[in-house]
Amino acid sequence: MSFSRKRLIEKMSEIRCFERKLLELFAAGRIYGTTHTCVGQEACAAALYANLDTSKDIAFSNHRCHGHYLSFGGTPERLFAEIMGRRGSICSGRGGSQHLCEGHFYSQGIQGGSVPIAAGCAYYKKRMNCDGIVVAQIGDGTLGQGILYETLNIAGILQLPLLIIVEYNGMAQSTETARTTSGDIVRRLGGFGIEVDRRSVSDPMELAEHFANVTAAVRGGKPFIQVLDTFRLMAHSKGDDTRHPEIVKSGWKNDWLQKQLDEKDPDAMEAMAAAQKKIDLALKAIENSPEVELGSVATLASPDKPLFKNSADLLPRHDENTRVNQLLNHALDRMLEKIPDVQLLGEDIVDDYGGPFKVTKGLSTKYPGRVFGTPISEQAIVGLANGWALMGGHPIAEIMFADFVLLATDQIVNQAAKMHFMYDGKVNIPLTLRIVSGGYRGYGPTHSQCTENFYANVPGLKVVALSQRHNPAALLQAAVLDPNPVILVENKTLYTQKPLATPPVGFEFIATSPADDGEYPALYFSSASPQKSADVTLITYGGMTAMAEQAMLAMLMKDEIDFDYFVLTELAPRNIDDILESVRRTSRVVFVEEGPADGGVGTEWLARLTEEISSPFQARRVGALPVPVPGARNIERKVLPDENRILSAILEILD
Amino acid sequence: MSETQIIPVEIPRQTANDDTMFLLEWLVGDASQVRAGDAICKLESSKAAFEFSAPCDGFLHIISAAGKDLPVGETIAWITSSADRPGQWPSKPTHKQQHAAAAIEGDLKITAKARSLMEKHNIADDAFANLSLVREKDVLEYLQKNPTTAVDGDKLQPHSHLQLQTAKVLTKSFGTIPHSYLSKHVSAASLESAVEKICLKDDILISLSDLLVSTIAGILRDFPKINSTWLDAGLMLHREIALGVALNQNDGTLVVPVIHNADSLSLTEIAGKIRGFQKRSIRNRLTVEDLTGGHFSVTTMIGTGVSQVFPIIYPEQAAILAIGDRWGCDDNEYYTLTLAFDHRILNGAEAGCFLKAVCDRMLQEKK
Repeated sequence: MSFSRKRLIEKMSEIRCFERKLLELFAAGRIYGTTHTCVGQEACAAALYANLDTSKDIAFSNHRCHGHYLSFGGTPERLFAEIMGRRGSICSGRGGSQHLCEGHFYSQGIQGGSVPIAAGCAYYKKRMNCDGIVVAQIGDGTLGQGILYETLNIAGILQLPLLIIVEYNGMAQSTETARTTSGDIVRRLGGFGIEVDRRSVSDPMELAEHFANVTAAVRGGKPFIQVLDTFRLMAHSKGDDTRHPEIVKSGWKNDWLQKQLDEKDPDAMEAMAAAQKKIDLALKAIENSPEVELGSVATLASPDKPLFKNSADLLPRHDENTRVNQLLNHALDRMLEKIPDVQLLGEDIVDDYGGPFKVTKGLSTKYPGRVFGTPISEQAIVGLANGWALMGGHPIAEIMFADFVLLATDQIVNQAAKMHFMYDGKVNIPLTLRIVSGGYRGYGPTHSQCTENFYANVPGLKVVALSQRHNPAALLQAAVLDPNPVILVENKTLYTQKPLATPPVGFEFIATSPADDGEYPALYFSSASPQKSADVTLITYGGMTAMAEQAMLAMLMKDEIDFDYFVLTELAPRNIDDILESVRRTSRVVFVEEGPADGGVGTEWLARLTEEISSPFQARRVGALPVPVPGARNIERKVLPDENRILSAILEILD
Repeated sequence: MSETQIIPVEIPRQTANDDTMFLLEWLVGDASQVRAGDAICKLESSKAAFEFSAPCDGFLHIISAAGKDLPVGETIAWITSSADRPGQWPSKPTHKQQHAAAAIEGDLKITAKARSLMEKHNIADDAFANLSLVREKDVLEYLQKNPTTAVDGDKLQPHSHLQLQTAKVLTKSFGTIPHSYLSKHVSAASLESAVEKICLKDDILISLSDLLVSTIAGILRDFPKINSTWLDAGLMLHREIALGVALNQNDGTLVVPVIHNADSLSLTEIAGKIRGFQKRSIRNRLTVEDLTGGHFSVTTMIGTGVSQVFPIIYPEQAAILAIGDRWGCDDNEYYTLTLAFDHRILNGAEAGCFLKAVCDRMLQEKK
């Protein structure tokens, strides 16, 4: 890397002028939303990025990202445009001040949210032998986030080419960091087997030289944590500075760049004047350009080729008399063999144990280095997988119990689901997240919940469910090849069952075609005949098929009540076309799910039907009682739905 | 020990996930002596394979072969305190799937509506053997295809297996053989007197039917075309004289046992054969040999009040002779013999010759 004092001062001046201009524009009411400026902290960015190569290194920044962006190849025009919602912006105004994505630069607004993603990218680079390092920039506020420590632990274990920069400005928004921090930061961060250095930022030249050494070490394959003591000269956001004016005043007095200007340093004087001009021109260039347009509201990427020709592709094979966990194991094996960037992550998934449900048995032995038995850190597991996916790889992460996936909700909802849209379609997250869901096993309140309903209403996420009616390999493979984040719900009662290749007694399978290339069509069975259409439409998914089928058979045997029976594959997004046709014929619909019906998966499906069907129809939801799932067998059975509850619902709407 | 102790060996619940286990192999042989704790078989759960130990001392009697997935709680063997294998194992409530996820498999299922319709029309389950679920529409479809079955008040009596077999034979015969008929009336007094004379002369008891069968047996060799089978390739002339004798059974079905090598048997022997057939048919003891291999048949309606019978030729035969009951009045009473013959094989003259010969020969006996 080559850098000079002059060049560093120029960059710092550009950042300072940009940030001050922003604050001016805010004060004048010319900017909508919010912003976080880094006046006083410019050297951190300028000195570090002088040592990075934008063609191969990757940078993750945070809410206070303008300086980092401008140092890593960004331009003030595009950044102004992004913040002011003008054409020619970075992410078409979708990201705004905090959510930038250009080249290998990413920023987002959740404290610590990008740290595991950065680690995932570094993991990918290391395993796939790619050049370059990954940098994650955080502030001292992030020291309060657990995800930081989950990630440091993993970065230490895997010895990732990851550089973490803590810009320690002493203030977390309005709270002095010292008040919310116990112990010694360096000793704390030093506990992960990663080298830590803490120093004050004064001369940017010295800092850049230091970073030359640090980045060289990281390029050599060692993680590094750099704490930089710095000072934020202006407000956290816009006008929310509650610090004593004397403190801020002394900050200005100690500011290196200000000192150079005060001392009439010719480089600084010249650079500041040039920067002022550059920023004014940049603003002028975009302030009259047209506003951004929303354009496509697609939150999901389209796959290169259709995932399924029609729903028959999802049917189990007749010649496989094998349990679901074995079939999943074989499918993972095939994908590890065929797709070099498939990586498995999860707790206890390596041999000899091979996962609590034996889905990954034998794979860590057969594919060394490709099955990561992680610490118990759900958020980091998903974050790491997000980073792997951001690199274009195909991570398959396992969450041992669906209850635990809630711990990773930030990585799922704020990161995986939002990235494609907020980064204006520039990135895809082909993440596969297998979650082990449901009860009927006596594992009690925190190991039995169905949590898919929480994720079935998040734009940018696909939630698909395996059932005894599905071919596990076909569904898993589609989830892996899907360019979007997919939560694959695997009901734990399924693992020891065998898929059913023959339709339920009295039913015929009717193949349906997906509405778009990226859709997972529902399986449709019907007991109706050309002479008589069905009486009731029953929709279910996951582990409830056997009970639903028992109930339907009972009704068929008793009164020859005919059913259109849908086993959903994709719980979200929802394509209701085939179901709509059916309910128009039957005027009766029952949605059966294992979790509570209120706020459940079925609620939205039924709402959609209600909007589309103008004639009156009867609808019922069958699900668990709205309480946590108890442990003892008899009361667990009372809480979870059973065949009788399904029968009652059917009988009610037949009356 | 007063009583033999019998302890079941059951598939254990090893994990919460597994409702079944795979029985990999037996490590000890059937009927071998085992000690409590001895490894007796290898089981495999979804997690791992493990050795399973005998729960007590005794003799192991295996009832489930290895290589199967078996439900938790299933008895796979018994351990008895004595070496003998008991004739019967203790009864035990059958394994119930705890989860409603139990497979819906197996037996023919019939909906309530279908069942009631089937009962009304007396349709057996077998009629739907190709279905897994029988619904009302299936029964209606069946009724439409079987129009003899009818509406309210009518009752369908299902065919017996034998009846279906008989129907098949008769349909085939009547559908493929061009039948032609000749009848001849014979003086009843003359025939009866002929029978009576034989009885008195030989001190035996025979019937007119016996005499008829015996007579045919004696002359059939002179009429080779009567003792033949029409084949596409040609006419198969049979060596053996094998006569079928139609017998009505109590249930209304007809059987035709065969007297093999009838020409070598005396009248008394033939009478004895026929008596034997009658007895055995009542007890359903006729053998396959009894019922197969006939080349000509005789059917009699004597004692039924029916004067003339037009019988159907049995498949692969050329003719059948029927005799009706005595008819007429006073001194002019007759028995009418009717010959049904395959017109492809015989013309009327040939058949008439045979019929005349039978009648003449029967009357000759009195001389």
